[in-house]
Amino acid sequence: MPKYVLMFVGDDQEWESQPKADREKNYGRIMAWWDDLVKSGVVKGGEELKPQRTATTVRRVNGAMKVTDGPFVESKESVGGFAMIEVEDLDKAIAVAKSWPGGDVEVRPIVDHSAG
Amino acid sequence: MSKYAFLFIDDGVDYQGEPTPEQQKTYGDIFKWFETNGSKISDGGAELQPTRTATTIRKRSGKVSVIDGPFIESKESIGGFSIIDVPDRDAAIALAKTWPGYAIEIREIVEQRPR
Amino acid sequence: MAAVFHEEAGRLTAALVKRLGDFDLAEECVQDALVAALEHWPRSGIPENPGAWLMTTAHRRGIDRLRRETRYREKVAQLEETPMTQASSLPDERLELIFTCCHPALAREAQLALTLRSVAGLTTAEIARAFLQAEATVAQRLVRAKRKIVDAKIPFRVPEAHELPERLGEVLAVLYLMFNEGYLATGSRGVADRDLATEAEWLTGLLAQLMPDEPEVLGLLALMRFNLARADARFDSGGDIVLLRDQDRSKWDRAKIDATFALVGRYVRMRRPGPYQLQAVIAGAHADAKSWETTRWNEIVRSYDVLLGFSDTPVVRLNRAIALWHVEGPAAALAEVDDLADDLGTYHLFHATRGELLRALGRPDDARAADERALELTGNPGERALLERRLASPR
Repeated sequence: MPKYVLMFVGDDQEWESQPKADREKNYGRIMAWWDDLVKSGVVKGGEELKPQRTATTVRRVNGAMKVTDGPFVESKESVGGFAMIEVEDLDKAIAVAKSWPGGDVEVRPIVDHSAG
Repeated sequence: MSKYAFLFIDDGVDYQGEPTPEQQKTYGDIFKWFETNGSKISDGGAELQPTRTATTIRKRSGKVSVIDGPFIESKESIGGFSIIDVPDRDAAIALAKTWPGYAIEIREIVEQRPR
Repeated sequence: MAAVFHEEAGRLTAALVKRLGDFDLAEECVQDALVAALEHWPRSGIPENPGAWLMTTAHRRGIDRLRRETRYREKVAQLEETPMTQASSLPDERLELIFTCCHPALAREAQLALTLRSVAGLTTAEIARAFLQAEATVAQRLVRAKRKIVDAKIPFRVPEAHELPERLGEVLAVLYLMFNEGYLATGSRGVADRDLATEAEWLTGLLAQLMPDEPEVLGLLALMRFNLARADARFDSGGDIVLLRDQDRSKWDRAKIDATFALVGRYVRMRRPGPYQLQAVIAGAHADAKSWETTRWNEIVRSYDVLLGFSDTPVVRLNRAIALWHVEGPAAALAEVDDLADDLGTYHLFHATRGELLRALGRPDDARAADERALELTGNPGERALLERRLASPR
């Protein structure tokens, strides 16, 4: 069956400036969602990422790898986590993405390196 | 030891046709890189198809809509990811510098509480 | 030949997608068959069984193509094994095809082009002409759309009941846009515009056949048919636009209008109102009236009130205000229209409407300013000509 990666998009600043009680409630929703998803058997991987301001980027410039502080592109919205799922088709992947309690979700199929 | 996510960044060129010899060499080097560093890679992760295959669930003013394309239009985009397990951030950076591809964004992972 | 392609192209594509499990490949085989038909049939005549001819050709071309491309090796064996059957004797899977072409994961322009191509059988050149775009642009768009279907695994199926409202809404939005592109035309293409509108009508008619119990589909079909029934009265001998209120109603296709009222009756009995059904009722009220003056305006205003319950948008409010003019007078209507200034400031019809209302209120200078603003905002040659005539007239 095809695999898709769901990238969870969020505004780090907006998330971190929430009152503590709201943040904990929203985090609880996300954890509950994740537990349900794992139970459903479609999960093949996934991680929560620390905010983009904690990122370090290594990029090829004129042949050599250069290190810079920060994400590869500065933007209001960034990927805060991802999940890899194995489901029948895009409609099933979209259904999972729609159930995410947070903000926008990007759904992308992976490159299947196995034969066929 | 700490876990980091390597977000492999695409330089934005969509290789629709057969790969050029130069591209083939890069793919070969990437394959070797995964072999060489296997002990540091806790999850091989996945290579993603190009952003033209992306679909985004967008939420605006309480409305949910399905739209064609990535969540943000930009020349550079995430082309894949792996999870690595190394002593610290400096080790992660050192490893990233050996990547034969274009770029890597290194991000710390939020460790989950055991279940 | 166009009629044959209409009937057969969609069936053939759907059948091949099912058989080959690859949208892109199926689509290319059908294209090959249609091109071959365009080459051979003018010389040898349309075969007695065009469906079988096309299926055989598509099948043969399919095998050739598969042999050339190594990635399809297993599929060659599949194709060669299965016996040849005429497309029309296979179950009609055009509904699956329509929903796939109009999948929300495809960009709107891709949905439009793909539907016209795969379901209605138009060539890339015909689609490009219809939308006034370069053929290469449309070709690229089709290639990308088909590749996305394959790469992201957009499934070939009719959505389940719980997904149907959203997915059907998407299909109707595509068809409605297609119709408006052809009917209202942001460019000036004369008769060609009507072809796009007629394609939209044909496709909606097909959808109504395949989903006879969906009142919104019937509603959209009725809306299109009421509009098309007026087509002959919309332009004068000089090719200029004639507004509804000035149209020679004897040029309206009364038979088509009567038949469409029967369609309205069908969906009204289903008692599941919706926005397209309501818009069709409004169009029907106009079609039914002997003249602009005797139109049942209060009924139209009431229909708009219900429509706002489904779709409260500034444009609907604007259209309601125009109807209100004829019930409560221009001052009341202008008050409503002015409330929409923030939302519709860059919409030429907003200003054109204000112009008409201001003229009715005896404020010619303000009316002129509004018409000039409208002229600045539209590129449509027909609408420009109308506004320029209005500005040039002494009153």
